[in-house]
Amino acid sequence: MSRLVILGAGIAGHTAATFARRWLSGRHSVTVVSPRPDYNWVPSNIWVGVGLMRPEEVIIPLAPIYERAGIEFVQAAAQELHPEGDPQDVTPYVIAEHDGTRVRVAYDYLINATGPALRFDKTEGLGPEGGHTLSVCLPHHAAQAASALDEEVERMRRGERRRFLIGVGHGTCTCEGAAFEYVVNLEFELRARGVRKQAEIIFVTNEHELSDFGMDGMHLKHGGYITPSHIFTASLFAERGIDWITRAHVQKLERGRAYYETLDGAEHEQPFDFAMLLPPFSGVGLTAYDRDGTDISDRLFLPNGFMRVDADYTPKPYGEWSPDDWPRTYQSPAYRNVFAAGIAFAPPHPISRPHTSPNGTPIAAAPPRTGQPSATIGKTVARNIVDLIHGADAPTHTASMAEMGAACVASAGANLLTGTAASMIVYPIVPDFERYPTYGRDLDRTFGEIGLAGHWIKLLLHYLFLYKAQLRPGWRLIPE
Amino acid sequence: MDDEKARDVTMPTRGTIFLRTFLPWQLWRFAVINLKMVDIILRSHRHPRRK
Repeated sequence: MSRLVILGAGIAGHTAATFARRWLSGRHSVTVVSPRPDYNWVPSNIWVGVGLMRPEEVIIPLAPIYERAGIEFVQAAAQELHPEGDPQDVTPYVIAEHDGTRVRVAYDYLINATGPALRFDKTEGLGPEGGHTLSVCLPHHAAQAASALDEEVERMRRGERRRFLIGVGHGTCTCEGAAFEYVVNLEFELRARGVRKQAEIIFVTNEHELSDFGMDGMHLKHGGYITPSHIFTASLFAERGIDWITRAHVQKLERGRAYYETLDGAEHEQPFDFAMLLPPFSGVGLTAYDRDGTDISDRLFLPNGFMRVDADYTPKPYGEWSPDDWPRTYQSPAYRNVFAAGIAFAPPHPISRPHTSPNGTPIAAAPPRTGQPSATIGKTVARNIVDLIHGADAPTHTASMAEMGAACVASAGANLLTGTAASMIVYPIVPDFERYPTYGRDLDRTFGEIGLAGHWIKLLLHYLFLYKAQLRPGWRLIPE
Repeated sequence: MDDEKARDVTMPTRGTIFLRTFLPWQLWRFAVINLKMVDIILRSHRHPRRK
């Protein structure tokens, strides 16, 4: 009998848990340890943030799903890993905490799918809790943003002009795609509510060019040309009257004012009435101890808190980055029974070209690991652990981001007849200039298009993936 | 945004904007985009470890 413990119940953790449970017989146990009682379909938080959905529509309670599936659920936040056990018992275990109570959960195999810590603290004044900006990272953050938006709309209906600042709140952020979605949805909503003329909308991002998305942008075949994606995104913004600031590191926020530095070293101020700025991410801050209680966190984690896996972490200049640097099995090099999945694994380096301002400030988008790649990695890690439990001597499957593609649908306005979304496919996620010279990607598969069909797909994904997450009949036939 | 910045940007023609929400065309695009996405998803799962 083996015990598989999964830390986190986001897209990677939930996918890993549900597939592992399906593939393992009842002799083996699957346990999920997660601080929140719900599963959140994060891509739809955008719609909560503009008031088109309620938070309850993007979350589902985990306990009944896991009870039905035969998965043990421990609602607690993982704090410590003890991969060698303790002096009394060599069984590896995790310490998790809930409401001040510490819980010890023993494991034979562990998946760290804890996702990111939202580091609002990295920028003074950033964030909805004690700061001056809003967020859509969590459903309750998004609901708060929607309420603030309603207040702004009321002011504009009374004839006031308001300024909206949307984007990312630090030079090292990732998830620019979510900020992009929010700004275009916001603009669509303001039009729908009849107050667009009263609003000035500005997008601020750390990306070197629009739609870099932390993966060095992409090139698309379109109209007989191979065109960089930022051309299309700039067009989309200009068409909607959205202004933009690229290559920016937000340094500080005060009430109604953002201070930022641009890559040329210049410092600027931007007043605003409403700001939704996403935070940078780090690992959740797990610590690890050996059998004697010595802190061995640096063996399992990078300084940013993300978990070391089978990647090549040797520091290299941009010109020497290789697709082979990227992890394939997500197995910890320190402990063969420990894996990471989703945002929790440490990328070997960024995907986008790094940039630093003359003041020494890094300003470049960090690599994305969200959504579909997270689910694919979660499923692959589950498959590998199941095969190890069944006697394999090494992981049997791989899911390198340098070999997988990503499909992403970014909503640009939610309406069944007049809405649109940008449908994007990039293959592979990490450019491979040996296989695909010049652009690093397969241009017959890399694709982007904006239209109503994209909105239908985004809506379909919302319902399909919440259905799948609830393990309703046929759930495993829905591809992730 | 200022006019100079707006002038430097590629803008869609009326035909392009019309097609974005023209139902028959979008139904076709719905099918095409879904097939493209399924192709990518299936490719991303086909990686048994090389010996």
